[in-house]
Amino acid sequence: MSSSAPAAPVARRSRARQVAASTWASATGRTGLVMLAITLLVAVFGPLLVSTSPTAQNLMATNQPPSWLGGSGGLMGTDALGRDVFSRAVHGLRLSLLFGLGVATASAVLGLALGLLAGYEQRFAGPVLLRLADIQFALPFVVVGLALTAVMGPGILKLSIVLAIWGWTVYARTIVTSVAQVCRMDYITAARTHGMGATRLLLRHVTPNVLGPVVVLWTTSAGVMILVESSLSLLGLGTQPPSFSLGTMLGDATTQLRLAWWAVVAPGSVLLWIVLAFNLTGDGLRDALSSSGRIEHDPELV
Amino acid sequence: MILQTENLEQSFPVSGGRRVQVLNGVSISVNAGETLGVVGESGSGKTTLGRAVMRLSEPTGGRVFFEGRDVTHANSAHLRRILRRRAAMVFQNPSTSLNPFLKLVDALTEPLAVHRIGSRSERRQQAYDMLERVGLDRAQAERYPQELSGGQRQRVGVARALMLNPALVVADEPTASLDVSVQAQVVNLFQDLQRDLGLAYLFISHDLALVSHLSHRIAVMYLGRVVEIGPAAEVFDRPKHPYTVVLSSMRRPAGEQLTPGGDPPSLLSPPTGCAFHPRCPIARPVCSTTAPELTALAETKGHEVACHFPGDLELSGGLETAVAPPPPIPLEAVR
Repeated sequence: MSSSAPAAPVARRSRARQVAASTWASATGRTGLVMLAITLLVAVFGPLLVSTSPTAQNLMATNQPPSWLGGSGGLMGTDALGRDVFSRAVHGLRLSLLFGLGVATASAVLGLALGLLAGYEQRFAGPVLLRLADIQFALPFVVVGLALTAVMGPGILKLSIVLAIWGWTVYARTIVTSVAQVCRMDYITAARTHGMGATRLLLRHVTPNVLGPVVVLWTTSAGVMILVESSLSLLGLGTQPPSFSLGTMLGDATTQLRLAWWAVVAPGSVLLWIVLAFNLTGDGLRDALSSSGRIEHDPELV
Repeated sequence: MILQTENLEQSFPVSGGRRVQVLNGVSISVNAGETLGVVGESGSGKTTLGRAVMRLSEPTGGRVFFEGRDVTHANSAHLRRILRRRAAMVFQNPSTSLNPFLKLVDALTEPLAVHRIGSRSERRQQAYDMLERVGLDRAQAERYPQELSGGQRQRVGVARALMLNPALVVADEPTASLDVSVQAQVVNLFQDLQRDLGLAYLFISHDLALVSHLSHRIAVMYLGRVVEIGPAAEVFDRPKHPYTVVLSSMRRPAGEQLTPGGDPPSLLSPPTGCAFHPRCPIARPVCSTTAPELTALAETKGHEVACHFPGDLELSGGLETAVAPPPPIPLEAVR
């Protein structure tokens, strides 16, 4: 190593970079990150490379099996309206991914903010928020989603707003105890004796301490959100034609399952791939965070 | 006068709708450049006193004056201009007093940033200077607290408290969780800084010998009250309150130590009369019925005791010289 002189300053790595490096070092994390990268690349550039239009119907060639099964339907066959399943999967991936990342991020930010509030303000706001979360946990989302769709009408944007708001509980409940713990630390008291305001205190001192679990939850929930969107779209509550996502593809194709199973299997495998990518990344991140210096045993901390 | 409290009271709600009275009429004062040592066992309210004068809690009775202004019920904007700008705190546990996610330089510049003092580079420069002042290398500014030893972290804690050039530093058991050798270094640091900067300290500790080593005056607390207050040498060598005598006897050989019977009483059900009477070796009937007031003693100026029979229990003489600590810096030298 280069540390020939004992007093030479050690190159310092920021915590984020340390966690990223250690995620990459684990097999799980690396697999997840590679899968995620591929997914993102396909979502961004894929549609430019696929020549067939995803919406062009060819009623002369409906339910054609894939070429590798001896059919004339291209790489993944065609669906009941003669549309190219491969092209549709590549295009549908965009909306699903955008939805998953967008909703997960929005609910993570909201959940983080409310979790900070609940952990910091333990007299009134905290207990009220946590009771609300309890109530919300008791209600299955599908019931609420159905009811809201009945009132507001279906639509991907409405659905994403409702899901983003609905998702706060998981984040808030996960971090609220850590927030309360951190708030009892002397460095918080020190910041208060210097006159630091509550908002700045929470952002600067508390947030870094609880960001780890939020990031892990965020990755897994992005996958879950894509699944939720798919299942609601399958029920006809999410994405509305002519837009389409992996979920609507599944929904459309189920009626023809006996005639064209490939039209179901293709979007299904892509879904499996995405959710697996997010979950593996989340697992890798979690391991990296729990092994990084933060939770390491400190003999001076009784 | 930097700090003064008048009959300060602090109570907190506990389960069952009751309140626990942690401070019960505490009147102390700290002059510029002076160290007031506060001693007492755990539960005596000394930490609560420190937090109350720093207005980390709002007192439930009495008043707190900081540099002549009443801050007892000041709102946060008002506090920011007075107390927050001119008083700081040093904590017991150096592991929890520094944020593990902040580099030292960021922890040190924070008080300046809160009060919008100087530009970014000026603040960093001040942080480097302060690190050197407390005996650390400026090259360590880019480190995280976990990379430092306990003593080094405590120095950083002291440095952070000094960043705003305060008039008062409240030190809550700043040496209690350090090794003995490191303790001495930190105590010396406190004394050096007082000499150079004219700081006033409210020095909270359970260790009477340590406190008498660096205090000009000592206040002894028992169950939320000051039971004896006076010049450090007087209180330490000629204690008048039986509780102070007990504390003071701890520096003697094991056979000559006085140990009070029983445990400290609960704050939820304080004893009647003098709070110390159930454990007092010289308690008499009046002690259990009437609470003694803090009264000035005739022989020494500024020495006050809350006891019906001050001086009845005494340390047998002869040992003071053997263990007498060096005197604190004289007040004149500080100013």
